[in-house]
Amino acid sequence: MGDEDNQGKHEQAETGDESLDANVELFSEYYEGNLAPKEAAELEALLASDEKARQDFADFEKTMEMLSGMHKMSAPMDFDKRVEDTIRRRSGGRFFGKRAFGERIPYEALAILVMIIAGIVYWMGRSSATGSHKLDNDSKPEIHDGARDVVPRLK
Amino acid sequence: MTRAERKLVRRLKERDERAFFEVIESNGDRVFNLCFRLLGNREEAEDLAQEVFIKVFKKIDTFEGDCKLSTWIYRIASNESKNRIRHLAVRHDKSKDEFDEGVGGCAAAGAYTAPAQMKSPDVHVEVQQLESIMQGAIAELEEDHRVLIVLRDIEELSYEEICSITELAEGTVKSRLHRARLALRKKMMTRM
Repeated sequence: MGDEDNQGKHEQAETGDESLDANVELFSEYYEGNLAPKEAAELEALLASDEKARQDFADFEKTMEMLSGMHKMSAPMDFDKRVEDTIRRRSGGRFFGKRAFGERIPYEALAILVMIIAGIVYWMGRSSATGSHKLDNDSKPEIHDGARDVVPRLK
Repeated sequence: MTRAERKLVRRLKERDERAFFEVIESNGDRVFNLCFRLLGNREEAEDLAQEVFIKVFKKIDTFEGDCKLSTWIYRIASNESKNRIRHLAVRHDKSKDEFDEGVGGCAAAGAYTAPAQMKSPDVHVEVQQLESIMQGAIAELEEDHRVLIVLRDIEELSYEEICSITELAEGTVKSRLHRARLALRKKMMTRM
């Protein structure tokens, strides 16, 4: 029964082919608003007078509306993650790999931080009473009593 | 191309990973939808959309900026989809009996409606039923016709963009699109 129905529909489609073939280009242009005013008027006259053409155009319009009304599908939520994983795997970790410390923090920022720390250490060395960088030009070096004869020029 | 887009392309060419994520963010859904409508199968579409972006990442150096970045990405998606349709057609021929049994009247040359979608309880909803019929009819079109129908009538791109994506002249696009619409209409008439 179902096969017979399908066969009937198929035959109906085949018999209507010729007029549909002839008109569908006009329908397409008309539907998109690309027909010149004269051609549009001619088509409108045809649609007004020819029931078959009117039915064909209604079917054509319905098809176009169904097409434009089809749901817009969305990519999966983790789509970007999947792409990232695939690139990482295929590139052997060259791209999108686990990032080194130097990539997470820019090297320029690291260099500035290192210079600041070095400056602080130097300043502490100079300002500290026992620091190795302490400069004290005014005071004379202390000479142990037992060494005075070894360095006679120092008084 | 806008200045912002040129900057984005430069970052992509420097393999800036954040720039790449921006591209996926702004084009992911449209590329996926294009792949899905051309292939008619969600899993295949997911896999193919991934391949499209991987190709974008690999081939960005060949992008010369003669069109919008999104148009270039669409061109890749369209070409990759056509390749996949051919690949699936070969697979379909090899396992034709099982395939036909699985998807019934919606079996198509290389593309099909996902069985899960056909058996969905929502099939009783008229809109979804019609959409399923339409998807099946699209899947039966020749691959070039399928691409034009999807780009113009579903994605609603301009002729200028379609010409750039398909690398065809506008007259050719229009005449093929008319034939595609006619073929689709005929397939719909046999299904409804």
